[in-house]
Amino acid sequence: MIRIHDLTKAYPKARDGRGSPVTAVDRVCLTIDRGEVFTLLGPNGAGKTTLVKILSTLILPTSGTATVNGHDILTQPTRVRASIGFSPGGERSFYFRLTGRQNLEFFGALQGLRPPLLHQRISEVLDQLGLEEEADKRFMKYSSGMRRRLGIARALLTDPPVLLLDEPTASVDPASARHIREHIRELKAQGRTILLTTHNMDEAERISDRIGILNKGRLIAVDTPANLRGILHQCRLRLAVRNWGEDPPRFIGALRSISGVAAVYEGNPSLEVIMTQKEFVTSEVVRLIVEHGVEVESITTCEPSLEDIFLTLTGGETSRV
Amino acid sequence: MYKAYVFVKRGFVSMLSYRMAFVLTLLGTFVGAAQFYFMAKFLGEGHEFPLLAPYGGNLMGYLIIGTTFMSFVGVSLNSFQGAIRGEQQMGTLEFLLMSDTPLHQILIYSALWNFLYACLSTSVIFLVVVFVLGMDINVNLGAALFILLLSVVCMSGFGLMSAGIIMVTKQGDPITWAFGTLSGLLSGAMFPVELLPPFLRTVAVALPPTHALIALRKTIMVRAGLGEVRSQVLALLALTALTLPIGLVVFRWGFNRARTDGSLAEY
Ligand SMILES: Nc1ncnc2c1ncn2[C@@H]1O[C@H](COP(=O)(O)OP(=O)(O)O)[C@@H](O)[C@H]1O
Ligand SMILES: [Mg+2]
Repeated sequence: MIRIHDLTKAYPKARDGRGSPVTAVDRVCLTIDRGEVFTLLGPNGAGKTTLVKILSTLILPTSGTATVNGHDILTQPTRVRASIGFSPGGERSFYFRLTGRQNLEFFGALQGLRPPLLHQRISEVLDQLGLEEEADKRFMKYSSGMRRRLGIARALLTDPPVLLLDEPTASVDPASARHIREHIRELKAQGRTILLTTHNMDEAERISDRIGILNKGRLIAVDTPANLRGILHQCRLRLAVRNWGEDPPRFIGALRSISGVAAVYEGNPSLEVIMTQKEFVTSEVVRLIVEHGVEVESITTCEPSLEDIFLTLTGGETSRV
Repeated sequence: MYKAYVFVKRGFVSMLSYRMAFVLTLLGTFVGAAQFYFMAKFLGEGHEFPLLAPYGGNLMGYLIIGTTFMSFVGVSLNSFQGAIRGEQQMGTLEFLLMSDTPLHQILIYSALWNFLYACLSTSVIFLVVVFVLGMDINVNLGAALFILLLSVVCMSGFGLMSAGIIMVTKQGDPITWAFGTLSGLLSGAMFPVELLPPFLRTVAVALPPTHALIALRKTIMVRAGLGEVRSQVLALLALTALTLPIGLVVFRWGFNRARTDGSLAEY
């Protein structure tokens, strides 16, 4: 349904005004199947929005190309637009002084819908996103969650087979985020192909058929949540070391060879162990500490950040303290 | 046509939502009309204006047409870039571009509301000065509207250039500023072009409003037909043939530059 081939986007000028080019999307190849919910997972600045906007024909790629629903984004942009519903990230994409319904009427008309079909579609999508009661309030009175839902409702007006949702749950409270995820599941059940972006690992794991992990414009892993589970559930163990014992290098080597340890970062006086299997590794680490006569002040575990996950995936080449 | 309707409706609903501002604007329009009435009465007392003879010698009509037409100059120059900026600020521009409506249509529809608004306030002024203050006019409405439309299209070329430039630079551009200012000063809005020194008169000939104003005054004040203002119509057509293509090219350029820079939505 979506085929991305060797797609690269280098912005001519960085936003900070220093004027050096920025590679926001770097040689990405990806195929998303019909009816799939695919999540692009990555931190701020990973290139998620850029990628989605290229697919929406809003940004021209530097090289490479993509097809959406069989149409080329470069040569058939109009057909691409007719196949997709796009919900931009951010909250400002409606007219504040118009009501939700008036907004939908305006955008629907621009998409070529005419009454009475237009009004019928508007009530359908409002109903689907649970917005009928708020429909006649001005947009400026909407909460973040309602604004996001109106964004999805708008994307659905033309009943497109492909949905591109940029950060559909960003800056939304947890309950509303849950509602939005339910809506996304319903949309999948209707057979739509959905590409969404998020920086929330939990969310990616819960709603996706597959996840693509994007870091600095590169797609560094693409797999099902089940297969990425180990990586997504990795955990970090931080040891504050008081005394390194007789042979520190051998101790660290031993830590690295525990199965389930993804990486070990040395610092002084602390040590970090990134592990993909919490219980087993922790007990092994404790065993090695005793065996090598190492004295530690404390052991703490932390949930992984996306950065830790990138470190695991890239083999820890990125330097770090 | 339905699209044009929803654009106008959007403008109207938004305007009504600023009720106070709307009422104040209307009041301001009345006050403005009254001001011209008294000024023209004061200046015209016991005087003849030979340079105004082609327009029936009516000072008040001369001035009112000059100033109201300047609001159409503003509409032509600023509607497109104003629409783009407004949509950027709302965050809606990208979404409009995603629709199946081509960008130039979006611009025209957005400008349509501004144009209608300018027509509305101009009509109010004329109704007041003619029916309340009793100014004499002798209008060929069809010809006047044709000239108005033609000059708006002609000046829209500058508007397109301005919009194209603003999409890239994100700030006001010197071209439209110069055009707007020169038009206010040199095109005969408030005094006849004949009073200008010769070299400024040459500049005036290059400005579409100069020709538009002559033709409008004749069609509104002395019921001239299009035949009588033939040379102005031809001048406007010639200038349109120049400004419109250049405007379109500059606009395309700006649009594609913004899509490459990824800065469409920025302002
Ligand atoms: N219009 C632009 N001009 C220059 N740099 C940009 C532009 N848009 C995004 N970038 C840069 O490209 C990178 C990716 O940005 P973005 O696609 O917005 O990432 P994400 O959506 O994952 O946060 C960032 O480094 C960002 O600063
Ligand atoms: Mg983003």
